[in-house]
Amino acid sequence: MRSLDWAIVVAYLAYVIWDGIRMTKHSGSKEGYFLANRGLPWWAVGLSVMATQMSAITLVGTTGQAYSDGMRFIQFYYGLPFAMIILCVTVVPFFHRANVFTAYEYLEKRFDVKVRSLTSFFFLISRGLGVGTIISAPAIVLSIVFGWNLIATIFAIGLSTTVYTVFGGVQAVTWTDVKQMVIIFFGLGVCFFVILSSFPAGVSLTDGLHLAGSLGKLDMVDTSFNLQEKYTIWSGLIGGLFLMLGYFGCDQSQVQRFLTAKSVDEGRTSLLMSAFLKIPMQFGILLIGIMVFIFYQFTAPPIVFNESEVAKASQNVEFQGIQSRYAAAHEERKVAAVAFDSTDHVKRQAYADADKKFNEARKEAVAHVKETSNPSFNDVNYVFPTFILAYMPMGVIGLLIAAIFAAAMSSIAAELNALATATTIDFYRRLYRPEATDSHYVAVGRITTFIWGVFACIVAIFATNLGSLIEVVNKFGSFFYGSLLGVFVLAFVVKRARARGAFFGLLSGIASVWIASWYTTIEFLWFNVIGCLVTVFFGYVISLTVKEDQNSGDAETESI
Amino acid sequence: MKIKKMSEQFPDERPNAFWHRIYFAVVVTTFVVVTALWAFSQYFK
Repeated sequence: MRSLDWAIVVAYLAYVIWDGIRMTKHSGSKEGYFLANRGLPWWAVGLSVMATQMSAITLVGTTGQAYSDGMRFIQFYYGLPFAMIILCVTVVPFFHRANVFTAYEYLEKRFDVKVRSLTSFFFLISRGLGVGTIISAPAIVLSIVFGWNLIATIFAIGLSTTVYTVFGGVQAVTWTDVKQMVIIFFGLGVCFFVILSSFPAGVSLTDGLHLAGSLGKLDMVDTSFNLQEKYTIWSGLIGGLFLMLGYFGCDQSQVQRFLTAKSVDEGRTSLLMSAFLKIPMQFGILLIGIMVFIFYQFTAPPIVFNESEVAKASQNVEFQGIQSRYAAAHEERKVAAVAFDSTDHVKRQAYADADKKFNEARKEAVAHVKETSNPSFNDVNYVFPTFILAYMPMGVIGLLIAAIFAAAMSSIAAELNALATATTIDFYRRLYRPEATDSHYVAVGRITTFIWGVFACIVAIFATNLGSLIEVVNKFGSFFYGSLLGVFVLAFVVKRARARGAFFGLLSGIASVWIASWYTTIEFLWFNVIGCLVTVFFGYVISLTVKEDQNSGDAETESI
Repeated sequence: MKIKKMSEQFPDERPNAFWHRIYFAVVVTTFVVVTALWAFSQYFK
């Protein structure tokens, strides 16, 4: 990195922190600090919803996944628009009219304080750990690719975000999210055109897409119904629907976004913005991974993208042999790629065979690293940052690092703010100090934001070597979201549901997901379906053991 | 605190019919986008 790149990154960090801290003046009251006085416009809330969901893992992991596995991952998002419609019809108006600070606050009105505390507790556990992985993802990768100190990188990302979130509260989170989304889109747009201009003379985008398409890298609709297959249209539409319902409807980090909207209409519009834009946006990010793939058809990619592992393995004679075979396989594939003609079956087959040979050599290298140095080694997250450092011009490197930082910080800030809100409102105010001044709760909110920020940094330090990081975060979520969703389904839809049923139904749901994850090979997106159905089933059955008039909650809350 | 029924329409909100049209547009757009992505992958296959 040159000084211009450093200047861009430092300027970005300084601006975001300043911009967040100056929101302190709007955050003096409890409503202001936690809910922005319920006065934000839909477009700001909508961008914040998207920024919260798009972490650095989305940028770094998804582009790497497209490079190595193609665009199949996009199917993960096919259930999102339908989830948004369901949420617009149900939880958005409900939470708005209930005037709650957290999603779990409503569960006390419907059931009892135990159900509220348990769901909020599970949220704190899952997101407290989740935010650690959100920090560690870019920190690990950037520290290795750019040679930065890992701990310093974790604290640079984690603590800088904590600082402005502590002072500015949800106002700072939302308005910095808006600016961060602009930086991310601008950075990715510039990156797209720089890669396109780096293709060899005579190779157009269409030629490149034919190369990628001939290997199945552009497949985005897999209609096979296989529970062991990670990304199919069914896992996306059904598993993804349940995950998105749980994430956007029951996770405080997202619920808090639309609670800050001016009205029910603005809250709905902010969610529908994601329903329209999420799939095309994800397509754009995956396409950049495909562009990197096309670029590396004509320029030799590193045998393993994590350079520190290559340096270690290069001492080994066996690895040197693999490197020679890899270089030869790349040359062969390059020749086949140049000669490729999408209408000529023989040339297509020659290219496919050369690619197979190339992949075998690379797999051998990855297996060697796993065997000799790092058993949980995963190369996916290093593809994009390594590419940026090696091939992007001065200035663009800084811009893209700022974009990765922006993606990370937008998610972390929302999570920290939500963790602090749940801690303050669901536990401190409800169980310890129910009657206190607004400024007291704001002070507690600031302290808990700081504590969660430090906790997240500590988790991030331990969250290394967990495989493909984007999946780690989604898996963390999938262990809890389905069951949390089940409790809300019981609350909204099942009139006969009672507090005892909801409480033990939730525990049964989470237990069933853990059992499924240990004893079956079912892919994680289906855990959301399992958790939700088991929670609703056991919640209903256990509720039948409770007398009809007991813990029935406010009758007016029962019907949707 | 009493919570209003979900079915109740608030005066400052757009009518349900408006939102039903928007939801329908989301479903149609999603169908069109997924079909376009499928066509894109088939074209370059």
